[in-house]
Amino acid sequence: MTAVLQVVDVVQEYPGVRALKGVSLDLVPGQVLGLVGENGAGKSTLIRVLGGIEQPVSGQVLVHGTPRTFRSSAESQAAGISVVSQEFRLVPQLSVADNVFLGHELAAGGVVDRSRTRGRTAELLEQLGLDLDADRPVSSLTVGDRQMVEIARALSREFDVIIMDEPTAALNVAETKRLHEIVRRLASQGKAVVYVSHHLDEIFEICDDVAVLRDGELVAHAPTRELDEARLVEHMLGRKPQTFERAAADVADATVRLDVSGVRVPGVAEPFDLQVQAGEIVGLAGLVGSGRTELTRALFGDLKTSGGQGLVDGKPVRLRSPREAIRSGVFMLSEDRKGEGILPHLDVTENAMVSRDRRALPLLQRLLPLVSDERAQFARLRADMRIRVPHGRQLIGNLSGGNQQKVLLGRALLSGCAVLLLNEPTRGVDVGAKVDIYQLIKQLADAGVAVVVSSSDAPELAAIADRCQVYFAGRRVAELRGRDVTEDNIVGASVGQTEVSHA
Amino acid sequence: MTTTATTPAPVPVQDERPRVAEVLKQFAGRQYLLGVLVVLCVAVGLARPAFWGSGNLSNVLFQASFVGLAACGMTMLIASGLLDLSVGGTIAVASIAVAKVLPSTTIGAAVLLALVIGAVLGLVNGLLVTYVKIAPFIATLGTLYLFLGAAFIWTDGKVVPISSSNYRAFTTGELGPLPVPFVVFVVLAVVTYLVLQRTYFGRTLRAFGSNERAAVLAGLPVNRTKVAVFVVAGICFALSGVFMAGRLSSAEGNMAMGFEMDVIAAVVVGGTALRGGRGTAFGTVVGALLFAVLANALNLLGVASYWQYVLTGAVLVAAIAVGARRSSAAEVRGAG
Amino acid sequence: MPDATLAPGGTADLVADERARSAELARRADSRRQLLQNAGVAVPFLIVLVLGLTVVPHFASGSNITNMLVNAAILAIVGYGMTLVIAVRGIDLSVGSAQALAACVAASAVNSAGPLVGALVGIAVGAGLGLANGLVVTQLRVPGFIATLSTMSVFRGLVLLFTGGAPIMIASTSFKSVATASLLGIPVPFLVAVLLGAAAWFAFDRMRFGKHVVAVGGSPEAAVDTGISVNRVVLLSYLVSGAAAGIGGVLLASQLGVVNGSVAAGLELQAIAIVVLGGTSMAGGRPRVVGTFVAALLLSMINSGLNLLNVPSFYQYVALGALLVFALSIDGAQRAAVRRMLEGRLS
Repeated sequence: MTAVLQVVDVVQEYPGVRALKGVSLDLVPGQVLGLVGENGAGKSTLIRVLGGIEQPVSGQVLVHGTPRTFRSSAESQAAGISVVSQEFRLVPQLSVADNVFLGHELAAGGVVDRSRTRGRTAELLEQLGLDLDADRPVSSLTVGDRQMVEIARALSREFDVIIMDEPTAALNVAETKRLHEIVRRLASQGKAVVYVSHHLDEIFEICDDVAVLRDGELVAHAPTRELDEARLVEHMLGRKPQTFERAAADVADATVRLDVSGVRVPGVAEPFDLQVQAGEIVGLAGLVGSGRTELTRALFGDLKTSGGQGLVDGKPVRLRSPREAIRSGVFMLSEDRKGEGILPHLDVTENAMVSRDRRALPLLQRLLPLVSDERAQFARLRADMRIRVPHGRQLIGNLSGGNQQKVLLGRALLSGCAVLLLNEPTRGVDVGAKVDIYQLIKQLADAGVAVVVSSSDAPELAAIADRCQVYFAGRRVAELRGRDVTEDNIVGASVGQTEVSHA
Repeated sequence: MTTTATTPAPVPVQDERPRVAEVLKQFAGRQYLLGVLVVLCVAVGLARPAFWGSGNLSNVLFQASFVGLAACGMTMLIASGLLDLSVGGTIAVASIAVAKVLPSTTIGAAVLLALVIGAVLGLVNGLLVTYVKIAPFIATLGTLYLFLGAAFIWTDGKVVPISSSNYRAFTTGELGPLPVPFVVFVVLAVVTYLVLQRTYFGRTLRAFGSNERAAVLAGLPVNRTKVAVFVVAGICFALSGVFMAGRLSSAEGNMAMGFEMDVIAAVVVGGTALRGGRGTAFGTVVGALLFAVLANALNLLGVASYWQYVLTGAVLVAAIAVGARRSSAAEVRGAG
Repeated sequence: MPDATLAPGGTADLVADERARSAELARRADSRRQLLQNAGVAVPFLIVLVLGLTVVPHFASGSNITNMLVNAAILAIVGYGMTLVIAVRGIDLSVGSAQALAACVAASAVNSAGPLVGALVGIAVGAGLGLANGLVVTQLRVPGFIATLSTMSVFRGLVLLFTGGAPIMIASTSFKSVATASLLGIPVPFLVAVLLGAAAWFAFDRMRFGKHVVAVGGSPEAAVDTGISVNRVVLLSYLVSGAAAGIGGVLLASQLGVVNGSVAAGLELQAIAIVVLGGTSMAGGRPRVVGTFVAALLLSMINSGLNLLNVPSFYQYVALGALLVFALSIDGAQRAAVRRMLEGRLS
């Protein structure tokens, strides 16, 4: 079968870095190819080259056998390559329909045909199983819905190849299933699909074969039935993987550091209760929209709550703002690292120091920062957390997601908090850094911090949580403990099953 | 369920901090503006040797200081992602206050009054922006009109003269080869640098200038600091007015019309990005000097005053266009 | 309490219910936001109108109304251009100087080549200046603020050089009568403003260009990704802004009969004020032409009201400043409330 897309020996370079060192791939119609690799392995670069956003230093891209150079995403789209990117390319002020047809509007003489646009969009949304009003402004949509609109937009154009970059990052289980159905259908229609994901289980679920990028090279390309997850990770990392296990913490006598009862949180039907002891890691699981995501924000004073009582280390607290929360010993890391976490213009040292508990410092340092002390503190963090950065004055924007997250964890550590709230702690983090972060969370817990992890990654919670509350449709439907904290139980409860299978 | 992991790879041992040479090299590489200034001075000096005359240079430094004093406050504002267009109004009101009370009190008290007025006007701006939540651009647009109006009403549209020769001597005197206001300007610029880079206050304002939401979630006292930056800037504006009034020997509502443009231009051309997150006091000094030299050059060349408008604008564009070609993000803190 | 074990279909129902709930809330929040945005300018408008009619002598006189409408028209037309530029996240500080240059060149052209040619020349000059702005922003990559700050100075210098600092008297009575002519009792310039406003609204709301404008202003990354030429949209926006200033300049010349290099000083502040008052966000996104139009009327009423009350012009500074601050404080606070309402639902 003739290839629809061929990548021949593509090399891409940035100043000081060879991002792609001669990658070659073939795609035939109807093929679903999984593309995996750690962050920095070259996946995003390859996607940008194929999507026309960058031109490679050397090598060829052939579409239907003809060598092509794309000088813009428009050109690559015109050649039949569609890209669904990780960051949403939606205009919040425009409606769903307008977004879907942005750039290729259904217009006559410059005037947009509104009824046709609306109608076509409704068709596409229906195919995706979405019950959305096509005239709704995107600004009012949830993250999961926005992802689906992105996908609808890709589908609204003619294409032979579609590249999906982390398409399920913001989707819940039901939406992911539906997306997989769509991928299968596209393949059966003769489209070629490139499926880029960190979720290895999905790769095995829907891909015919998988290609592994490591350090800019294609190190493996095989049918998925010939591989398993362990082998795949081995290829991605180039080393034999070690398993990560956490013995359940023995917290029988540990002090209760966080004690919240009867608090009404918007989005959650019943009053919220949570007790976390020193050294415990409590997971919060649930689909997007289940109410889970509001809970950590409420605990951090970032969301208005009513009623109830909160105690930190036995002292009553009023959590009315993040600043008050931090004062009371509660710290939170947002799931949106770029938008709510890092301070991009500041260096890594300052990023780590901004929330430092100054009450523990000598008087002079409480008034003015002492450069040598901060430098030393950061050096310790860098060593302890294995943060990959050449020196402490590097701007944080230049680091990879995993390293940025480590700096933010350092910020949390330096805040001296009694209670740590983490939201999606390893979203957008490569496998190597992921494990480092799990170990860091464990270390924090072992040092006595009460940790709450809110995550949509069930395996993650199963691996690190001692207990797990699961939310569904605004209610807590399960509280799993010890060996019942399994991926199956978490996922099951997230979709409403209340039977727990005990280990 | 277990997650597969790797044996942690050893992190390569690196230097603790960037080598001084590296920082300096990056810093120097960014100072195209200083280069432009030097070239401009040399060129003008060649065309009109009178440029180097002490009286003329003194003129240039005076002009640079008036803009520069205000620009130090504006640098902090812009570095925190804020802006203040009411400079002209604050200068007018503060200067008029000095002129009015000078006959009945000491110079020190008059200057202090001016600074307090600057602080109060800055406080008004700060409260409007922070607690009433009006965008800085438009809030200070409104207060510009308010303050100017107040200034005109207070003087009934007339000029208030300053007859105290002591005051004039104090504000227009020289310390060695340099005019007093210029020395004050340089000192203020150094203070601005230190505040921005070496205090928690400066870190906080750079933080919310960089990403306000993240700064809030990190527990920084954003609101308090926002108001404080406006107050500090107001004091800087008033200080500029103190010296301007001395030089003009008078104060009136009109005295600093359109001044906000000069101040903002000095800061932005100097390298402090309007988006916020970083600020360069050194850049502001160069920016203020650049525009002062430019205006002086046009004067010396006998160019009709109307051409000044044209050329000043063109140079501003040219300076930015050249700078915009270079990469905008600094790799290392301190290098730009 | 939901069923013990739910089939996947049941789950979909519950998720769908959730969606329907959030859709309803979003619809309500959206209509509330629209209402508040409109109220943000409508309420001050009504207040000032009532105040004017009750407190100001001769406010409702024929000549005053004509005056107000003509002034409002000129301001509104420039406002339309500014609305477009602000919607694409730009700003045009040069409109005052551009209008002055257009007015003076037009006046001179009217004197030498007749009213029609003069008018066309004026508009062309405005468009040319706008094009220059657009090129500086898109080709030289100078941020709009600084670019138009500079051209504001350049254009002002040019018009002073052009006029040599002296006034230009317009000889053609037919040209000068345009500003005061009326159709069915409505001044011609006002009709022009209404027509242009309708055309602008249609372009922004119904045409492909309008969607591109919102995209460029609301999410430039999305615009680039979908193949929209951001540079072309921005360039066009500045060109339109210049042309609008030019049209306003021609009308101004007609109204004044005598122009000089200092006219239209401070116009940019008024234009920006009416755009923001009218509901177009400084952060970019949807242009709100109707709001700009209403705000132009508002400002015009305030100016004429204060003039009729013989308030010294410096008090007008205070009044304008206070109005801006007052209107925006209500506006800003209410918009924040709506934002908070929506935030709770988006996870």
